[in-house]
Amino acid sequence: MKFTIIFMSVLLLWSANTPAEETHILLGVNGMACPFCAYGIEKQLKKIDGVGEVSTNLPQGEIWVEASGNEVLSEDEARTLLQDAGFTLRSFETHQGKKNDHDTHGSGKD
Amino acid sequence: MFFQSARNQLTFLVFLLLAGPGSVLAAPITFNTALPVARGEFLNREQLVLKRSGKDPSGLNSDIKANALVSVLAYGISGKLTIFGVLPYLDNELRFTMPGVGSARRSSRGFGDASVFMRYTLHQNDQQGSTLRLAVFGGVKVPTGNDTQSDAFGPLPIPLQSGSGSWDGFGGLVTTWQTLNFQLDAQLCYAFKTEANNFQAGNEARLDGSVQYRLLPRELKSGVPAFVYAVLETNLIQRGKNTISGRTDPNSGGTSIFLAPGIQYVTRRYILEAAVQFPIVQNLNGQSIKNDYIARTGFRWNF
Repeated sequence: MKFTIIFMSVLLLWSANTPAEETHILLGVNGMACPFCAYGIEKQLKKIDGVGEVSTNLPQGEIWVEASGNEVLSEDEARTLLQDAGFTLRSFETHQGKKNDHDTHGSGKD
Repeated sequence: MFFQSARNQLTFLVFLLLAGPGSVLAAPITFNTALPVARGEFLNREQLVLKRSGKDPSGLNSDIKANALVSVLAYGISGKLTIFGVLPYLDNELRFTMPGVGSARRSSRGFGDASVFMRYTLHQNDQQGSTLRLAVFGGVKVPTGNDTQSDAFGPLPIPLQSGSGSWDGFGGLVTTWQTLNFQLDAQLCYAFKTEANNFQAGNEARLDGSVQYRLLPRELKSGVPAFVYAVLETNLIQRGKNTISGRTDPNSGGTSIFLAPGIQYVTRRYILEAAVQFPIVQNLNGQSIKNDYIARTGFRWNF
């Protein structure tokens, strides 16, 4: 019994310290054609709990979003968010784990 | 007698240089745009406007300096609906020569009339790297400015006052086609004037156009680089004649066309811009004073 309690406690502590699986979301955005427009979308995305870094590739019309899990942003939510920002969702892709090809995207930080 | 006549004449000469709600809209540089403001977000624009005029056919040698710092706050109610508030701070000066008296100066300073208007996107066609939009807008100019200022000569003429005293309405259509390489904007605006202090300005119709061409970076790579645009705008302005105490003033109203080269530096968070409007046509009625130029510079800020 004592062993079981210790084992469970260790298990709980371990799970609490394990980061949630990182999800990367690639949004294709139509209508985004200047730097000033991109910032409005980035601000909307950063308001969402669980969203980390947001980076935009203006020429490709793409925004790469780091999220702390699968449930942070659904395709429907992304479509609504972009409509609220005045733009149109073209595509929605999710990628698990570390993102690839991130160097091709500009930083969303100022 | 002469002074009264000269004052009335100057009243209407000055009016042409100080009126016009179209000049206080948000963007491109001399008028508005159909591009969106995100829901729940604010945009601020500050623009310094310097108007100069010295071409006076009346023989009074009038010289007018009309400076304004125009503050615009835009708030996105939704992706399609935006509300704008505009508040100018005005510094107006009129210099003229009176026979037998010499040169004289009249001036005013203070907050002008505030404007509130809304813009709604009627049509939106978004593609990768481009957007085409058509929006309708309408609003009201509220007589918040002081219209009771006076000097040693007596009460200032209404157009020289910081405020007009009148409630005026305006509305129109604006369209924007923006791509990664260039942007085209066009606006049709009509302003209805009402009477106050026995003075009613003529209604105003205007047609504006703007082309912005990306000079830098010459080649777009990844990320969000800052853009430098060369800007060329034109403004066709038709004003009706003013009335004072119910009588039409023959020295007021007319048609003007301006051409405005400019430059914009556009980043993710702010825009710096400057343009100078040069009159290429001033077909004004009677002895209306003519513009030399209107210089504009300022910034927009997304916060």
